[in-house]
Amino acid sequence: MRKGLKGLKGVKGEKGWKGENVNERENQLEWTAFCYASGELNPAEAEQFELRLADDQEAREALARAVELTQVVAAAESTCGDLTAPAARKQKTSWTTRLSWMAIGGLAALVLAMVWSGGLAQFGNGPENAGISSVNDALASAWSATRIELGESSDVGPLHPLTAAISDDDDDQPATDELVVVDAPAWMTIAIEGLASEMMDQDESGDEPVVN
Amino acid sequence: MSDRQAKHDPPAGEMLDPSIVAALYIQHAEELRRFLLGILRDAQLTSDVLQATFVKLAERGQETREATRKAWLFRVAYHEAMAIRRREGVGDKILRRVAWHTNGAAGPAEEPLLRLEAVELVREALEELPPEQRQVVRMRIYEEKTFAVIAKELKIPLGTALARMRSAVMKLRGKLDGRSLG
Repeated sequence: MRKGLKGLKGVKGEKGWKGENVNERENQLEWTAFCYASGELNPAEAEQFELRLADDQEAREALARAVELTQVVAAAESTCGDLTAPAARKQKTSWTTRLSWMAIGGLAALVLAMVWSGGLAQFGNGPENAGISSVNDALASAWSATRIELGESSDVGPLHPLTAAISDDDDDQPATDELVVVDAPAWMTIAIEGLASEMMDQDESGDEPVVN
Repeated sequence: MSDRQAKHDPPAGEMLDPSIVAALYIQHAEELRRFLLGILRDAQLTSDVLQATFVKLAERGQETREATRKAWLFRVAYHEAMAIRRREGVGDKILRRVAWHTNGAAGPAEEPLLRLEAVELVREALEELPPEQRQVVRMRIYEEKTFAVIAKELKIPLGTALARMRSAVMKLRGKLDGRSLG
């Protein structure tokens, strides 16, 4: 049985918060989340924290931050002075952000257009599977294109990868190469199929489809 | 995907617009992935649960309110993750450490996505740490030693090792929080 970190202020976490200011409480949560992510809590402490995760969005986000910090520190330590970032990455410009959001908007428009025209027409004239397949193919292409565009900009946040970039072998490779997605993710296919199905139902019932 | 989810039929009525689902994915997927990795300690399971969470959003997102969708996603992800842990029997592994760096078994495609900018920031912050704190950080995160082992090797009390780590974590966290997210 692990001893855990009993007796050390801040690790047990939930007790003794009265009178503490907000910063102390936030630091407490960050530390508890870090200890949980690091596997330094004993089973009872870990269970207690997991119960909190069920209801507390702050705790969930703290855990995500703790994992991020640990990963980033591990990456920073592993490169240990060898990390040579291309100068271009440092010169972040706002146009890249705008470009990224334009790409996202473009994807959304394309998705709706596919449902409205091509996908919907095939639903009406042919077997359902053909329509779905067509939507999926087009959706996959659109999704891949969006991912590539997003990956090429340097400050779009969550889609930007590092893992390839921190490898010595990949220093001169665009970090996004390995992230080109061939197929649209399942959740997106389900979303688009659902929407197409709804619109087909509306079409069959004689109602005008509604596009937001 | 869980059995429960597989059996679940999409509810009748209007579904969430795919562009909204896509936007929510772009906005929250990486944070969710880190959250799930913290619970599951497994990159493949994390990807599975992340996928299942957004499938659920696509199917049932219309039942949620816009203001609470982020919390809804985290709640769904949490319950999916805990269900998988129970089903896969990984609950007993929860106290194990994650192989945070790329020496782990998971291939590059399974590694969580990190940003070069964040690593550069943290590397600068690491260099600014007092040497004794930097040493504990390196031993704990990079060398993956427990605090008990670190304390023993450095011949310092456990509380001192923890205090150094906590102080360092807060400084590094502050550095990351101060970055520009665009």
